[in-house]
Amino acid sequence: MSGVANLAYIVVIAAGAYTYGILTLGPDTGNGGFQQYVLGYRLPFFLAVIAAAVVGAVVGVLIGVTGLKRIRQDYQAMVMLVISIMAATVIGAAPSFLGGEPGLSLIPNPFANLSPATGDWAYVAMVAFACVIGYLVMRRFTSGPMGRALRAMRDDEHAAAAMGFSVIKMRLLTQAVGGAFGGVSGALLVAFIGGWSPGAWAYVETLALLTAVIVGGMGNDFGVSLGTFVIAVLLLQGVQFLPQIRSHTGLTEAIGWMTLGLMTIAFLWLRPQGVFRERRPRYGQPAVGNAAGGEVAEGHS
Amino acid sequence: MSSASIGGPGSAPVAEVSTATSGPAAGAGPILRVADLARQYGGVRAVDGVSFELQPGTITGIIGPNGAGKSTVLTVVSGFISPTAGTIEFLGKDVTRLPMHRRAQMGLVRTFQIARVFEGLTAIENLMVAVPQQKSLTVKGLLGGKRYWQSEEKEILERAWALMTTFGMADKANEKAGRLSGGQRRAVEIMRALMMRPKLLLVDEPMAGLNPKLTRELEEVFLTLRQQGLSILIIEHELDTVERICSEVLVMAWGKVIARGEMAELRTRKEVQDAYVVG
Repeated sequence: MSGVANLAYIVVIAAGAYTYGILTLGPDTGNGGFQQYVLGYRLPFFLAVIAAAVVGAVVGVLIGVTGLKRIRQDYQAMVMLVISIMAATVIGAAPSFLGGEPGLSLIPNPFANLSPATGDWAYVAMVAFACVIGYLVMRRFTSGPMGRALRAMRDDEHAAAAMGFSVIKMRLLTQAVGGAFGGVSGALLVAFIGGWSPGAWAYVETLALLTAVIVGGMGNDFGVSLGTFVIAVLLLQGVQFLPQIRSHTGLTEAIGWMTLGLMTIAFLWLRPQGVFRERRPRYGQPAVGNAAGGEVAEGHS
Repeated sequence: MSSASIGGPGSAPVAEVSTATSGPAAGAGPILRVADLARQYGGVRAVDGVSFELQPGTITGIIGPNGAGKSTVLTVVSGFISPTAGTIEFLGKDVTRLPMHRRAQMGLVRTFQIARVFEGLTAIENLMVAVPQQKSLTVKGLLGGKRYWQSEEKEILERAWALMTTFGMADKANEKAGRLSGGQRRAVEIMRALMMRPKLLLVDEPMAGLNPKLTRELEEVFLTLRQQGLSILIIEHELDTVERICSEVLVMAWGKVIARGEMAELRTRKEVQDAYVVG
């Protein structure tokens, strides 16, 4: 939306996941001391999620700083991709910080005291609720004057600056908000799956998110949400339910990634605007003496 | 007074163009003071010791052959690039090191040599976005939602429609700016600048690509804006236009101002003729 192809988005998700982990696992001397990490508190679930959002926002801003230089968007994307790879390498090489390559495990689930089936469905309900809240919050940024300003910055940052917009400030704002979203999603993910390591947040995961945006429709909130559901949930998680081929272990997962790559190429070639293209509101001309006028409909401009 | 209809027929008279600027009154000192401005690219001095002042409510032209440094002066004054040396004062304040968006917020607004519209936005959205420091773009605006900024948005919309109508582009208001013609894009860019209620407008070859009729209409727009107190610094190759609308003209060649005065008088000066022939 703001014109930054953030290929390091998985890093803020990872930051949220690690934050949740080290704030809920308790001291690393617990569980026989088989894993090492910093902090090690036992905060309540919601506090840890809020902390994950804050850390995600901070990491998002730090990543965004790399995009402040006057470099072209394609170079910004490369810089962010490199950051993503570097971050995973550094975390993996420092075992006493966040568990290194083996990562963190036994991360507590907030519904652990319920029966497994009930706990799972309770978690689904909670995540669904978080998605609805997240969508509503996101709409504050993507619709109305703020969405207009962000789109202007995306289309031409120099012209936007000539209109009095601080491109740096707005980019950092979007990075912070996007980072907070990523941090929360990382926390919710890791609290459910119970473990997190550099292998879980390889840069290729960001490409999956990017595909979701391309397929759903850049600049269209509903399209992006649908794209995320189809790509990240139905496709990449769905392949796990396919029968494994004994002679080729891991082939089903590979089929998921291959399908994802083909979809990216196909959409960029055949329908770059995605399934749901960006739509702009139509504004009616105010009648004489009527200052109202206003937005008349979501149109097809 | 003739009517302005940059985008097509059926427009309102140009007299309705209003920026409601609050620029300094004439005689209150220069609105812009540029002193010893220089800009170097490697070993090339694109601008070399340029000095001039602009008075409020005037249209000043910069002319000169290609490569004279005209656009570089405008680009440096707008804050798009920094000068290698020299100072720029706007409204009595040193803005030499201020970034472009801060200068724009002060009322120093530029357009580009090749019109740069926000292609993904509609024409009217291009105008609506060009109001700096909107309430809706603050943290309060984000938290407060539509109720907090609705009245401001209505006022912005009304102003945008008034300009679209005046420029004869009401029928293009809800069209994506990326689909507009070159002349329409130029008009959108100028309207967008006017939405900012500028005190000084920097325009780079606004008549480029416009037919003679549209050129005359845009001249009328600029003259009306000047009457309303707006100062304009214009780079233009169309010397007849410069003669009709500019009270003072700077002639640049080889990065320097080689002559200044009224256009009619400058046409007779040998150094100006030489610059165009040699430069």
